[in-house]
Amino acid sequence: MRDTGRDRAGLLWVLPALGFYACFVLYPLTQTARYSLYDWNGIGEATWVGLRNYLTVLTDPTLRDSVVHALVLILFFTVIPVSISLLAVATMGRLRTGAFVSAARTVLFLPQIIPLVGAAIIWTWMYSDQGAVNQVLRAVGLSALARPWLADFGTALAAVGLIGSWVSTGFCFVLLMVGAGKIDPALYEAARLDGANAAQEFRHITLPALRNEIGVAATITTIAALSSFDIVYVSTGGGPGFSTMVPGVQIIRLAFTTGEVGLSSALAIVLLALVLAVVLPMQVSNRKARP
Amino acid sequence: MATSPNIPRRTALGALLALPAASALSACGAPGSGPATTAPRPIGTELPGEPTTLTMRANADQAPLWEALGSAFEHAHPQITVELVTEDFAALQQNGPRYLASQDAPDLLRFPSPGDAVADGLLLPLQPYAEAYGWEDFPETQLNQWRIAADGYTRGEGDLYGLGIGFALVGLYTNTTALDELGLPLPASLEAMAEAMAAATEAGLTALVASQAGLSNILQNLMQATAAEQVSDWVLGKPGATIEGPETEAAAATLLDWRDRGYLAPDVLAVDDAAALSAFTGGQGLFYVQGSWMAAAVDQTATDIDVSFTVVPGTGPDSAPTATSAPNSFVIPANAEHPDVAAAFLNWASTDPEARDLLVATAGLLPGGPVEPEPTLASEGALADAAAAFTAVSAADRFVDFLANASAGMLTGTLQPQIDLLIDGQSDPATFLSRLQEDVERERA
Repeated sequence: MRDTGRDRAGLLWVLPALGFYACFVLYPLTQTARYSLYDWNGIGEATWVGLRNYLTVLTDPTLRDSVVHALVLILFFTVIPVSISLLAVATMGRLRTGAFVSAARTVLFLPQIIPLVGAAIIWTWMYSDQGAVNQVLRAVGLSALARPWLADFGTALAAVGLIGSWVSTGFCFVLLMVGAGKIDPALYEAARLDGANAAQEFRHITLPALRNEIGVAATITTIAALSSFDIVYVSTGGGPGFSTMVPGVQIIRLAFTTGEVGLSSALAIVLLALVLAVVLPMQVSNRKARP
Repeated sequence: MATSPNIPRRTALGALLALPAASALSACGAPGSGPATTAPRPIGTELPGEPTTLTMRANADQAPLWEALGSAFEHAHPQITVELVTEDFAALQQNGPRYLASQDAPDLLRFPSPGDAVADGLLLPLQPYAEAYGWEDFPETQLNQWRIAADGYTRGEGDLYGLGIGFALVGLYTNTTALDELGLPLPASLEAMAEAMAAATEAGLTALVASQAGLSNILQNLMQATAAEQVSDWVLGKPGATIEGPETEAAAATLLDWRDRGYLAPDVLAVDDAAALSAFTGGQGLFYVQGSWMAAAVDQTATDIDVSFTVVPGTGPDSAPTATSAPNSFVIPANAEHPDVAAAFLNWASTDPEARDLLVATAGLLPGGPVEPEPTLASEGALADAAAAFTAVSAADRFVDFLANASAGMLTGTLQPQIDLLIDGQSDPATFLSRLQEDVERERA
């Protein structure tokens, strides 16, 4: 009987959060799934179309390409930041704490506290024809490379992606730094006594110890890449042409600009499935690898 | 209880999780609702005697104009208070249908393009007001963008559902200082314009200054030279209208030819409106195709060059003056509380001499409606030229709505990306036009 009472009390405590979750996540999710089966402008009468919206998402080249762009962004939002952070953590772990290390930490973390919209605006200026990036290139004699980075079909997606790298590196770095702080220094000492070099220490101590943190960082940044919206919307709006269009921007456009709520909902459901398809295997392998 | 202590928790949890599922099931019918059928109500052209508040929602970038008009209207009719709310234009465009559908809809809403609003029964028909106030006598091409047929979608004919306050037209700004140096007169035909551009390119000028966003205006003017009716019918969604055809394809090919001859800046896709304006007013270019909404800014910043504004020439000197133009359209929601006051405001803003002067003085816009009374204008400069051009096109009744207004998603979803692809050489004129056609058909379907 005492257990029941405690269960009830426990339930009471989670009830508010669960209520909000049901109200603002589960309910809208069911509604999105429902809308995705209709041709609806958001206000007037809706027409049942079954799975036709899903067929459009999978066959329309612009919508399909936007999904491909989101996958490319994983390289910039996840692979690059995690690699840089690992390198930084390994390097700083070998340095004595001091002014340099704390300055480096601050610099790496700074982008994380800037709102994404702000980051996108800053970078839009820096990438512009007369912006900082081109000024530097011209100053070092590489003016042949200078170009309007965000307006060039060949460079726009990578340029947008690098804004994402700049933002997520701070997050990945802090996460890995905390993880590295928990590694017993004695392990490094023992390795050094055995004659291990920096690369071996990294390979056999740091990397295995940070497996969980890497998993978390990779999961969160991958979700950010696949569902990216702010940076693309502000910096390019999906252009030039459709070269940086991503599902996040497309969903808003379809729902609120062109009034295709059904198609927009179908794309949102497909994006949800895509995120789960990419992230779940990462989670599972991360859990399996846990000692 | 003792045997299954967990039941209450499970039940409660289950109930909680079932809530959204159940509401989803119960709401499994089609979302949304059809238009409400309302009986036509009598209209009045007399303002109420008692204190009344007119609520108005408009775009923030023109807030000074709406404020000036609001206070002038209050001054003329002391019992009326104009309550103005402004917001970012893009947000206003996106939220428009939701404001119209809301229970406390404003009395007047700045609403750029009808979209589905008439079919959804969200707009008050203005036809009775148009007849009572005499708007029917305004030039027809100022009104046809807001005439909507009984099917709720086809524009260009039928009842009136919106009225513009202040017009702007796209035209050709010419750096006459540079043109004089080249020893050439103002071009009277597209051919003469091309010759002048060749000479300007030779002289090291950017022959045709444009921003990425402005490219569609150049293209539309090229199309209008030979296919104005086709373009207009297509934008208005007349049955069977198409943007594809030999004339429009030739127009797009001409734009590419101009690009190949170096008349456009090589990085034109990276040029924004502000950069284009400063390149032109700084004297780096010869021509600049842009809206008259920039005329006041051009007059202010072009201190070292003389500038004229004309309608973009047609195929020959005798071509009827034609211009792309759209009003600052306002609609009265079907749910509006004071539709009569809103209509009186619209009428006042188009016909009252003070309001007409305010449009020019505050926003550089040209009053539509009757040609008289003429607004007060500076004697020279781009803005004065624009007013003369507007009057000439009004007289010929040859305004064409923007390609961008063909559908709600046309500008951002189709026109701008497709022009990028066309100018970058990844698309060709025929493909470009078929994409425009496909997207409009999909959106209207």
